[in-house]
Amino acid sequence: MKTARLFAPLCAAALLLAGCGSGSSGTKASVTPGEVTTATTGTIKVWAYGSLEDAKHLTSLAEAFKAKYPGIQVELQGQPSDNYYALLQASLSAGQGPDVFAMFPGGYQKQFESSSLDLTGRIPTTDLQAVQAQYFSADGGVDSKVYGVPLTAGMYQMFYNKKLLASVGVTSAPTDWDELSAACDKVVAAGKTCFGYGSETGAGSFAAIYDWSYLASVLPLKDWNGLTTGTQPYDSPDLVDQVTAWAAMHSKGYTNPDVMTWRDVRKEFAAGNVAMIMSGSWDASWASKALGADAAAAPAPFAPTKVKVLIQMPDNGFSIAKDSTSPDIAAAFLQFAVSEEGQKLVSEAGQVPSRAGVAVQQPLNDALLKEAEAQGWEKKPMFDNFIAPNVTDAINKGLNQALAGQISPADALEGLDAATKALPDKNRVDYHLGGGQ
Amino acid sequence: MSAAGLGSGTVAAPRGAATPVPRVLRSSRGGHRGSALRRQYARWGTVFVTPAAVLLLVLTVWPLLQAVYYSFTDWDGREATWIGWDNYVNAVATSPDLVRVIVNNLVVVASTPFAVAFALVVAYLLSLGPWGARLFRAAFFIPVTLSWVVIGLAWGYLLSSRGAVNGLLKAVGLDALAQDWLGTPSTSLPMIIMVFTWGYLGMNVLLLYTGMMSIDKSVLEAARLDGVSGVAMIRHIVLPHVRRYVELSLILTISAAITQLFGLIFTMTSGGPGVSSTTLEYALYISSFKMGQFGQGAALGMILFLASLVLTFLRIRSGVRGDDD
Repeated sequence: MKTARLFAPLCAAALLLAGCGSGSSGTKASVTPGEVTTATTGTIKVWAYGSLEDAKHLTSLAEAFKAKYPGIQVELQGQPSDNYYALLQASLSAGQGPDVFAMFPGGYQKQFESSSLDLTGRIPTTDLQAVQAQYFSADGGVDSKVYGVPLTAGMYQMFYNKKLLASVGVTSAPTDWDELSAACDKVVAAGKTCFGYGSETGAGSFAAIYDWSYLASVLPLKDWNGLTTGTQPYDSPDLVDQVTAWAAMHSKGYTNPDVMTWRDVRKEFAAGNVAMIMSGSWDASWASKALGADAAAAPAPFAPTKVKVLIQMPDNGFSIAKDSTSPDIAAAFLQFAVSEEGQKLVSEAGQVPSRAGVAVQQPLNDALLKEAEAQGWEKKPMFDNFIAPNVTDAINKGLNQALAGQISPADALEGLDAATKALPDKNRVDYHLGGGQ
Repeated sequence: MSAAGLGSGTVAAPRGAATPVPRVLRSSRGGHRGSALRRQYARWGTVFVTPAAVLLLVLTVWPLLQAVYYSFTDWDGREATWIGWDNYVNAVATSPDLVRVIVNNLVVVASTPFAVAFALVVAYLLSLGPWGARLFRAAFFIPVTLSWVVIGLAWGYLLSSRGAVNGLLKAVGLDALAQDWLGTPSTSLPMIIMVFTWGYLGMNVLLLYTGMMSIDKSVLEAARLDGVSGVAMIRHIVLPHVRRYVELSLILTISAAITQLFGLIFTMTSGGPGVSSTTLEYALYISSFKMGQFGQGAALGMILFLASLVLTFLRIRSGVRGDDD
């Protein structure tokens, strides 16, 4: 009887752990680059990050690729963004993964380096250079191992409702804390929400990393490098001041009270009840569709003086699984995706193409990029691409709580220092941002 | 309070439910025939047990041993490098959140006696045979048939800041009580526990109700003739008779609380705000599948396993002591 009772928790725990114990050990498929022609037949499975509805450029690319190579099938599968890395890790570990999968550079890419195929020799170096594939390389150059190619050059940006702001006497997007406060006082007085935050699933938190990328922009890029490697503390006075000013938006009533869990923030922005939200270039088409000519995009005004920074980098890319059974077809697909022809399709679908010289067709994104060029704004990369996933997690959790007034800004930033300190050495990657060491 | 409905069933109690042993095997004077039969029983027993034992070894023991091994490695899901105790040291010494996560687990486990006590009250009321008892029984059991994800999603909407619960509170003038139940650190875990208790209530009620139905009618009649009723009836007659059922219910509830909260946490709070509603089980998932640190996840799994083992052991010890009493 005792034995039987002892087996009950044993079974439960073992079943729980079984998911961790079923992985295969390191294997490397032996692949030889081969030419893909119109006579080539085969099928590749491609995983998109999030719904295919949000990845129309991928659908266009797949259709055009299939038209070019009639014998090849491209199976697109949208995977939930909330759980994307978990699903990918599990499927690749089990040897059941896709041939091609959506991937982001930096810390995200690092996690999957051992599962990704080196693309040098499979995609011409000129194409790799044209789309800045060095962000996916092992050591920052396209001459060494490159594990992915960016298809878009995404931006973190603030969307705002021009009509709503104009109705309260604000004629342009705020550009610093003071202007933001002044604008929000007027919006709130009109009975609207000035800055909307929330979670579409209602579970957990919003992506504070968008906001953080602008908040941290008070520091030069080389100091970002120190933050990622742990030589520069997060709880420095400059950053504490920034997060304090940001958190004050909630305490002053500029945001909705339920910043952690409000499900309808996008719906209410589209309905004209929220003046500003944080998102990215991938949502520009949605914002345009929701508000028409009233939609506009700008850098987040989270700065003590006029903001002169735009967060942009070649980000939304794709990698080929090392265990892919069709690596040649997969490489041909990615080569097509980063070619001028493919990048035009990316642009037509509303995304910002990563290839230099390809025109941006989405009006909001195009206007923002032109403004950045005219004003000479500094472009900084997305912060989360250069930190380990657990620090991104700590940012998304800690800053949420700081905004909601649940913990102090200093405590939130100390949490980031603790998360950085807890990193194993191999995850403390030096990307030499801004020439930093 | 009447206990008229008790003892109307015929389900046998688990007390003394050991498998009856054929007389010939029990006899010490069975001689040659008895010994041959014993060997024959043993042979067939081995044959019948072998498939289950093989399955247990392959599907349970082997993955468990693998998990022990991986907990000592830096494993990204493909390549594992031996790093000794680093995962445990990192988990315990360098993760400020781990203490909070363990406290969350303790809070969840500490809540299980209340869940069982609540189920006991419901089962007792049902055993009294009130009007619509069958309907109530079914109603209490329905949540057991739903997945935790469905339950979590439904309650997530009800408890959202602009959801039905707050709507109801405001409608009856209790505006001050309305709050962001799942977005506030002090209420997020209690809400998870509340929903878990609700979702598991049917299982516990079913168990305890079955126990109450198995009480011999004559015992209840005798107690009644002796003037026992109400709380005294529950305390001195009903509870001692269903003690085994309560113990079983408690063990199952503790086990479920440790290993089945994932779906609720995932759908209702994602472990937040911060780590206020993160349990070891959820931390294991985050570490393994969100951070890609499978070795660290395996270490957390081992801690969870050991915690579960210790709790079960303590429960068994207290049960044995109770038997001795």
